Amino acid sequence: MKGKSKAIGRGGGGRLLRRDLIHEKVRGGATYLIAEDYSYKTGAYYRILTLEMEGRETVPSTKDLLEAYVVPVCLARAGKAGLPVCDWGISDDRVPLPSIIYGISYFADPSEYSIVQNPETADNVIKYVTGNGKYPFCYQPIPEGAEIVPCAAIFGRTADAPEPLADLAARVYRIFRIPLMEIVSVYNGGYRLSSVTPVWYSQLSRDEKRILEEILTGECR
Amino acid sequence: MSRLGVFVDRQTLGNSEQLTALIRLRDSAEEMGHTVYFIFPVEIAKIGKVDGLFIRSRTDPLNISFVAAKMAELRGIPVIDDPASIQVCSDKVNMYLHLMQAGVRIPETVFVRKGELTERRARALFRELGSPLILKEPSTSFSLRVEKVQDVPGFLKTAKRFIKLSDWIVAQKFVESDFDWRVGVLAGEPLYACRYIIPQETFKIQATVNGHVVYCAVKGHPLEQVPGPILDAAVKAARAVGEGLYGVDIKDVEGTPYVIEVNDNPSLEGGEDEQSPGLYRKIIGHLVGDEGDRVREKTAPGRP
Repeated sequence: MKGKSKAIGRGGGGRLLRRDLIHEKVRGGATYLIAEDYSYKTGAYYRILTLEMEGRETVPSTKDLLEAYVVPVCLARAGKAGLPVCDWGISDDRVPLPSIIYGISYFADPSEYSIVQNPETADNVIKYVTGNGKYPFCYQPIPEGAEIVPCAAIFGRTADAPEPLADLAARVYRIFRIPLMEIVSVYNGGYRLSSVTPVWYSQLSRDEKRILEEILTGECR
Repeated sequence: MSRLGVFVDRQTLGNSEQLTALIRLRDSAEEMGHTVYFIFPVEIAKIGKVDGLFIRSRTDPLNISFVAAKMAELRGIPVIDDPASIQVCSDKVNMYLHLMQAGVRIPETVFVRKGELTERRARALFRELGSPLILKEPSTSFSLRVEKVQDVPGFLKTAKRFIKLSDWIVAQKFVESDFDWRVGVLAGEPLYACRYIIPQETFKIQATVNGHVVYCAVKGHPLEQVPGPILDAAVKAARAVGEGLYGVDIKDVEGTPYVIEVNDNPSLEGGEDEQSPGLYRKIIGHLVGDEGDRVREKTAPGRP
């Protein structure tokens, strides 16, 4: 991507991938904001909100961020757009086994999920995510032997993902337009979207960091 | 006629006043010929089977009520509270930005960011807003995480606690009053009014004092007797947020209204309908389409 770029944060210079920096690039009338963490009520979220209130088109938008990070909403929207998504349900006590479990509450961390294979693990995880029964949670039954595959996507691009996963990442980006995200998918002969979460710079591979830095320095479209 | 879904959770039903209010809502809907289905979080898929959805559980963009609102919206089902209203009203920073943009009069308000919590900044805020001032963590509801601070050390102590939950917090000039007006607004039109009498022991509508929770008293008030500037402020504030159902809190300072908050998912169980007996019928009509009860058409002549 090319365009006017500036970074907001304490101090200047230094490495590009600092967690307190919010990079902004203006292209085609839209302001693209690149940050490590876009979660609700973070500095990046409020920077985007401020720009939206000024009438600017932002990528991502606060609406897309909220909808991407709340798992059932993410899957409902992605499924409606034709993406392969995991089956899901809401529960407050039991789940079919094995399942992936995501919390749904003010206290839930969108990047946290648990895979439960047996009743004992399930009970412990459910106690934790429900705050001892106060909140419901989202579960996704997974086939025996299925693989959970997290994958970073930078403007929808992946570094070394197989083609079907790279395609899924690109399609997820077209829906939610989050410049930096982790796509959690379930592989069982094909990839199904399980969730979209923030990804920390420290979790990126060398190739993923290179893609991101090239975008930030304008060396890459 | 139509199927009205009411989204509830354990907390909603664990409160006897809320339960009574839900029964009144159901009775009103049935009198209008509608069928009411209470939908719990684990039954969220049933939202697709109703014609309108009324959310009666605590709203937040990160909790299950937002999922319910979004499920309805994705299916084109009318919903109160809609996802956009939840997003705006659940976050005081977002809500005040909307009110400021619409030119709604609010107490002088400053957003304080992580990294600004210094003695120097605190002193500057006291100079700008006076003392005491009010600090709010943006996700506050029922006056939780709203504190009155008197001095720099108090400011820093409270602000550091709030900033762990949000990178921006709200600092606001303290406006004193014996009561808050609460005006219910539906689709941009006044629906009901009441006064929240602030307990003498506190400045909030709900607070813990010496280990005991004290609540404000709610006194219903006929809409036609509410001062015009209060109603105008309520409507302007609600319209700044959206076209749903809102409870707008206003302080009247010597005839000048100051909007304190716009709340989505407003309480209806405290006596808010005391002087507005048609309240539930209007909400139901708005959601599932009873022409005779549509607030918009009834109270806004000349609207297309």
